[in-house]
Amino acid sequence: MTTELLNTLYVQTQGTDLRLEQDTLRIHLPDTPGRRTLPLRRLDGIVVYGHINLSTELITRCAQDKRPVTWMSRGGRYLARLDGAARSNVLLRHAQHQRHDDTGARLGIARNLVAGKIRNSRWILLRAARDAAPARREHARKAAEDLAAAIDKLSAAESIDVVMGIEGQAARNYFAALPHILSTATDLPPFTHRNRRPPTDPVNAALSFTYGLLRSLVHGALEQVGLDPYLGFLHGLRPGKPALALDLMEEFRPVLADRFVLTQFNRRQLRASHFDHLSGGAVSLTEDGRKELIGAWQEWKTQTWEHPIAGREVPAGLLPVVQARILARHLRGELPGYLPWTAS
Amino acid sequence: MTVASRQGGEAEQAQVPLSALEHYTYCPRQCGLILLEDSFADDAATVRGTLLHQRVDTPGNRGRGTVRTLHALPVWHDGHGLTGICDTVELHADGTVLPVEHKSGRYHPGGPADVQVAAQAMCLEYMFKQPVTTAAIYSGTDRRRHIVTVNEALRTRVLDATNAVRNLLSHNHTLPPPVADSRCRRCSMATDCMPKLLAGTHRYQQALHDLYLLDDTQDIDE
Repeated sequence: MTTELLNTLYVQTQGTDLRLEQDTLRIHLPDTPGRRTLPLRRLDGIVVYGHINLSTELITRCAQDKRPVTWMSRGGRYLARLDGAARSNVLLRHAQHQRHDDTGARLGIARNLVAGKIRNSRWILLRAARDAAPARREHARKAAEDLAAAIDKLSAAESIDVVMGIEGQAARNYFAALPHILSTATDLPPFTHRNRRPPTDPVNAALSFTYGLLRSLVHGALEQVGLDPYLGFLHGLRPGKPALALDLMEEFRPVLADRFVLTQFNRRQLRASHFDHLSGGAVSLTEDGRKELIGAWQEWKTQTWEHPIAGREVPAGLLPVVQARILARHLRGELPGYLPWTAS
Repeated sequence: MTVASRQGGEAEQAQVPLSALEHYTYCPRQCGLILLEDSFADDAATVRGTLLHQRVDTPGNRGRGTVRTLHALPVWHDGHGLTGICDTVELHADGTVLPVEHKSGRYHPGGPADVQVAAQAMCLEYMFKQPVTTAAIYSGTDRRRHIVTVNEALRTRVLDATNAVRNLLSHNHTLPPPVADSRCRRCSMATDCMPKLLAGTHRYQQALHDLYLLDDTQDIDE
């Protein structure tokens, strides 16, 4: 069922009660009368934010159907995920561990992951530069040149540390150019650089929230294909850190998350009123802001992208699954390397 | 894979599921993906099959005149290391034992279903200690039974497929290469298998190489 892109239900109204009723999902919103039901077979996943109740019957039914349930904190931080009976693809996971122990193989995968990310970052800058005013265009093109140089250096990188270093520098160059892509006529406080934990301006707050959405998408894709999301090639191993999910996220961040956020601001879908400024400087999305973003994300996931190597158009929501499969085929020795998805 | 040893030190052979014989005969890689990668994908055809089987998958026996009909009967053959479940087994008054395999699609003479039902016949021979030389395949499409003669040639096909599947399971964990032909279009597992991508090795190599090459003439619009 998961190969088809169905709807994901996102629930963020605090105190909502979700229960199973035959083959449908019954939604009970606090303080709102009326009967709301959704047929379960139309849903490929449920994501809940904060204090939402799910009945045990509903959770077990989702586990049985392999329909993932993801729990996020109220603010959009990833907490946990239920996937039903674990995929027992032990040979694939064993191959994943063996490749991880092989320094050369590990470097090859890490380098290609980063190459994919930098190519996609560069693609965004060049695309935006086409429509920008001359001064802004120069900034974007200059940063794109820096990224081109980074890709060149990357091809000769001989250790993961060097790859990480190139990645870090490229990310700084890229984020320094992003403000020039944001539309000028904006009532937002300036976005100057990427920050998190906590974000201190609306653009960073929206980016952080979107990375959470993307992460749950990528994590789910890895689980679906049978890979261990915690055993990464670029990101180091640390208990509780889904290193492979973070690895696979890299190539998707620029196009699927950053560009999505920029579009929301440039189209005024997201406005200053969608953000709360907390005392001390932290900034977070309001409930309305999250609703706006999630609605747009749901639509964004259905937009198709050219997949050069698969030779077909793939909806954004399924790109991570396709890439997880390509990675799995490489780990099992069927493909000579991992080829990231690059926008074109 | 660890091979459990018996008390006498004699290694027990890996049990081969009857359904795997059919998968292997259709496409060795499909069988490998199901057994080794634990991946199975449903499509309209497989769901149709599941629905059709609900009728015959309830264990028990029903009578119809002089014929006793058993449903979802577990069968096995210790000698060949086969195990599985028969959709339907008919016990006739004259002592004939007839396995009937239900398929939702069309019947293809000499196809993978023949191998599966012949293996069932061989298991029934072992269990009932009597020859079973005839088996049947019920096709949901034309709602008809097709009789299969379990002859020597078919038995050899069963044993060859059994050995191949056992080899895949116990020694050789490499996935068989994709067939990448017209079978893939009707295969529910094509998205997971990626036959085209794996067959186009040269193109893939080229793409890996091009990952570090930038063609700026395309990017900058004039």
